[in-house]
Amino acid sequence: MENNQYIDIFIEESQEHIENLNSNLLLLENDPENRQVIDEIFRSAHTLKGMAATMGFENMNKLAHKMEDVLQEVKNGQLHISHAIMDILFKCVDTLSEMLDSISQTGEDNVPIDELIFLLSGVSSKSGNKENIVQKENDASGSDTLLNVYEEDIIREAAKDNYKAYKITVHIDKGCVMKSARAFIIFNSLDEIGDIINSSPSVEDIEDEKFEDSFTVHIITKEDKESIEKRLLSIAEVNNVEVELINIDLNKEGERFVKEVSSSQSQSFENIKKSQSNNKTSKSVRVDIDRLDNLMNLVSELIIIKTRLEGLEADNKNSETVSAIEYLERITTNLHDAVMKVRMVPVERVFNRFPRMVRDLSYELGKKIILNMYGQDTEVDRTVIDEIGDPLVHLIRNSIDHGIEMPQERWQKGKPEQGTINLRAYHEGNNVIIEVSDDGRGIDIEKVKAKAVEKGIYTAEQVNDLSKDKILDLLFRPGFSTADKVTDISGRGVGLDVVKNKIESLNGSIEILSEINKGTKFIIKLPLTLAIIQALLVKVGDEKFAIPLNSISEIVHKKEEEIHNVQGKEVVLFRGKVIPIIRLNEVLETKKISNNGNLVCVIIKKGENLACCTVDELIGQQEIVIKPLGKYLSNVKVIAGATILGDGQVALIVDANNLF
Amino acid sequence: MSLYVIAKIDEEEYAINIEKVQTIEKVMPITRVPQTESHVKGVINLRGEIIPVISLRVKLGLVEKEYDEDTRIVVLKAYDMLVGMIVDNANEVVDIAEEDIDNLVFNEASDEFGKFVSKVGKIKDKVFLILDLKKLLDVRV
Repeated sequence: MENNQYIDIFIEESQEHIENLNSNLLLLENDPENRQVIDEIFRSAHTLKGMAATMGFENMNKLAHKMEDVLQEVKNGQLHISHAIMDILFKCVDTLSEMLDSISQTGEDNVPIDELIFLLSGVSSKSGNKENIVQKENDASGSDTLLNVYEEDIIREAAKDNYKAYKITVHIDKGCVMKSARAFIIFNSLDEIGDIINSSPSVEDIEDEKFEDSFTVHIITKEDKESIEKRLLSIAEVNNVEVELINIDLNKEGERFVKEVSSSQSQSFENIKKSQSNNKTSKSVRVDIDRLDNLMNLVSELIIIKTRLEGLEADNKNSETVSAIEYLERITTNLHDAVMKVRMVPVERVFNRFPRMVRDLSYELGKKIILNMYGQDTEVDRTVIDEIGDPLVHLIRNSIDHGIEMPQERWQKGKPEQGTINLRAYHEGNNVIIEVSDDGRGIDIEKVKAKAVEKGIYTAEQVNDLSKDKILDLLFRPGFSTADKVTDISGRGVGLDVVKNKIESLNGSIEILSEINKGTKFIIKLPLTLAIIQALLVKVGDEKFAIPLNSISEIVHKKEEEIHNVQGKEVVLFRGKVIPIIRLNEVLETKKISNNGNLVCVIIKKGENLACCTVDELIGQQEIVIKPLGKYLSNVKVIAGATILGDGQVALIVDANNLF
Repeated sequence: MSLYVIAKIDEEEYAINIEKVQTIEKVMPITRVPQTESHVKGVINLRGEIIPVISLRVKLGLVEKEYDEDTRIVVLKAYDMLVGMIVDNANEVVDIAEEDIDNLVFNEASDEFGKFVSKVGKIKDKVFLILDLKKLLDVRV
């Protein structure tokens, strides 16, 4: 395609517009009359439309165009923002973002949009429909069955052909063994007489048996009430059926849902507003990350050369040379700092997706939640930014799902109905700290203890001697979940252990603070950059290796005779603990050097576990620049990368996490 | 017409499309990498970049040979990878016409060459085996 050279720019700019749409839609939901925000959303949709058309992405162009039409009506005051409209607009943004993913992967925007286009036409007053929401109470399950504009449209269309719409609530016998199978039969027999528009709970949930003993469906059919009842009651294990004719009130004003939610979330929106108004219109250039990596490489090369020159300096008494080298040293140090700074990105890039996530989840769960974000401008190296998103998503989902209670429950506890989640980032020395805290129910220590005993990790006696921190630490064990039931939001077999592993792989750490009924706080500590670390240089055989300092616990000397054999494995006693010996010369396949019975042991840690690595010689501590081994050697497990030493030699970095 | 770099192992001449060659270097210190296959000789520091180096001799199933004045590392850039390939000699570039390139069918099981060569090019009466980098670099797609 001839537009190839522009595709990167297109993707990047569209990404920005989509982010913009997302945060502005959140603002609009909170403040539906805000003209400025509507204008902003309109502009983004308009620009997207134009860009997509230029690049020849028809689907994207069509969808953005349709959005623009609807937004135009909102602008003109012909249309009022309602829950339904917001939902559709959010869906559109999601679809646009999906399209963009697809474009960057395959160069095509093949994402189905017909349903969305239909929905958008549905809300648009041009097609003659007023935005309406029909809300009927569903007394069986207590939850509301909502017909959206799309479904309502179907009913209206069907009415022209003498179809009638019914709301049917089916009660199944409490003793029914296979509820989902029974529901399937009911669905089938309804399908025979008409079309099912929707069901509550959703069909998926019914299939998964996620319902009590009743469910509600909306159906359009030509049959009358009595014959439907008769038909359904003839199915075994159906106890009772309620059939209700639906009349759509065409003149009913679209429901203004927004107020209630808005009050509870206003603070989070203040945050977005603030962060937006803070956007400085500074002079900046977009730089490809590869170019930055290249620059970083060149700078580390310069540092290596500088180190070599410093070595030569000692032999050279010429004061001119000495001062020139000192000058060079100052410049390279500054240059290094400058390049590191260029690679720094504000954590805002990661945080930005959370308001939308919190919004969607709180709707889904019927909870009221404020998300406060602080320190979005805290800067972290690109390499770190790319990795912390997933762990944070997990922790925030965790807080929303397990932490924050339902409004009713909070009210009974004397807490404000809306829960608060605070997301905070700040610098501390050479680290960046990110905290996720909530004011929810907190972690029940007794429950964790009971679980630990049940799982056989500790005996009932041992567990009572453990400190609170140790007990909370148990939550990071694989498969250790105290949730009574696994929900869609969190759970799914992915636990906090995954979060912990991810953070440790970034050389960071995580801890939990929790107080019952007051809330839980996760504190993540990460290094500012992953590109440069402190390492211990050692000799194994006659080769040099680097071991990252943060996986080293300490260094001890042992005698060969202190090594014991337990079940064919070499172990050694260290501070009263039996820990395994890892002979690095074997793992690293180096020459064996005679040690006269004296072992230099580097004690390495992986979480709670320790191991004793034997090396032949310690060289010293040094700051090293980590470089990947490349794709061709990506399956070498014990090596985490390589670094270039002062003399240009390559030293491999031992991956302590993969040694045992 | 396309240009090919000629890499030699013993008297055999292998051709690599010049577009896939980043640079040709003299032998430099190679740092061994543990837990790798025998044809992987290790990694080198090529002006600040860490590049894995393999031996074409070993890959072809031949016996190792001491590095000498003529030994070269041909740095290949293909399939998103940078890989150095040690050859006995590489100091020639030839131009092979498209019509002088033929596909070859080797018995892969019995012939070591067949594993990494799928085409052959000729200039007058000289024959060049054109390396199949996809197979050579174990690219699995």
